[in-house]
Amino acid sequence: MHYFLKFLETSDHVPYVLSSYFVVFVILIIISVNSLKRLKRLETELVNLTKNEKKK
Amino acid sequence: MIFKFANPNKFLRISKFLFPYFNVFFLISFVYGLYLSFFNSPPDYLQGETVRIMYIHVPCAWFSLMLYSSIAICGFFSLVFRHTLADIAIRAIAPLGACFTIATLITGSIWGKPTWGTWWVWDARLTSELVLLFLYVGIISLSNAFESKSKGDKYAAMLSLVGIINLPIIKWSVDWWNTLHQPASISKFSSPSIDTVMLIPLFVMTLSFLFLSLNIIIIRIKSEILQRKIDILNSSKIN
Amino acid sequence: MKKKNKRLKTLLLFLVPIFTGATIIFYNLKDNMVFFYSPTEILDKSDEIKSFVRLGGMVKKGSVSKENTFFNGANVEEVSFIITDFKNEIEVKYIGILPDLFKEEQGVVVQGNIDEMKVMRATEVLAKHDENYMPPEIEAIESIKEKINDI
Repeated sequence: MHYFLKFLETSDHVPYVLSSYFVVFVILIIISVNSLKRLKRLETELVNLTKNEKKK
Repeated sequence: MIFKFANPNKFLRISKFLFPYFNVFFLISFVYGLYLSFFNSPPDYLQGETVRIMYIHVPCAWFSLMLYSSIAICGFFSLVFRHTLADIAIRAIAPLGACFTIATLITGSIWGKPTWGTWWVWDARLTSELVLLFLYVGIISLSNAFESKSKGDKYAAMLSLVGIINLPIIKWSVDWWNTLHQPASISKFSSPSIDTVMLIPLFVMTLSFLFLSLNIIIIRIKSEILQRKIDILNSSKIN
Repeated sequence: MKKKNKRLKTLLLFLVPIFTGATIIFYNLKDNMVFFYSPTEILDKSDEIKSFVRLGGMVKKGSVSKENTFFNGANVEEVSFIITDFKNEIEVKYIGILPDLFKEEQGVVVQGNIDEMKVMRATEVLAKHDENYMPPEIEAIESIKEKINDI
């Protein structure tokens, strides 16, 4: 905790450090969410396709 | 022998089993890594607090290189052995590798401003990392550039193999040429020039990035397999 | 199996020329790819090196001094210091903001022009970080150890 408080006190470096962590989080969240969404979309598409096949 | 395990269905079964474990490992190591890098690691004697950027910059850089090498290995298997899972893996890994490369460049730039006094310089390390990003973009766009998927797979695999040249350049650029970027701190196995209190958060963060990457790759390979199944179903319908 | 061997052969025929070509190019580029020159290299090549150049090395201990001069009609502070590679030294004069990490006995890369007096008129000063990372307390201990060894 004492390191963290000291870190917040050095005001000139805080924005650099926080923004770099923020950028990495945003990039990783974007790719994870995109990949998950695509998987969900394809899963429903495949289910619909196989349903139609069976109907015939 | 290897190919028995590289069967897509087998992959789906194994990954389904591993996925939840990887998620748990990722969450634990990520939270612990963040705790270490902000609450339990000292500032550097010279850089001060900006050293904390290193704990995510370096793992991103490592993964940008590692994912590229795995793409190149897949490229080799795809071209020589025509292995479908290798083609699928290239498509699945390339976007993630590109993301890590972008993250490396941006965090490095944010670190460079307070430390070196500049956002960007055209030294060998920074330039070759930028070339790596272009290689990733090239692989992604080549694999989607053709009507037929297999043609795209082939050219992407070829580009990935040609691009291997860039990997040793990135790795040893700091030793071969005078660069503004500092030499590697951890390649010397006997005694890394990073103090242990700073080495531990770095490794914990790397571990968490590893599990996250594995899971993202699993998800992307799964969707790629599904996509191929859908394509087959659709084409059989038309005929 | 035969087909695989054939594909492997074509792949090698395709890759080997590219790799050898790249190796040759990079081997020859070696001197042009350096980001900066050391003081020794600059003094050796002072005829070849024309105007704009990057110089890198260590800031000599006790060489940093500041004085006020007139520049573009304004009174500004000019920093002068000596860059050394422990064999040769070059004096640098610079007007502008120094990076936080600029310190004596630390690595630095400056860019600018070298005048007839072999003095570097720098337009930009970049601090070069080394590959050592350690907490301040340990650094203090290390430097004390060094001092003891010196005695």
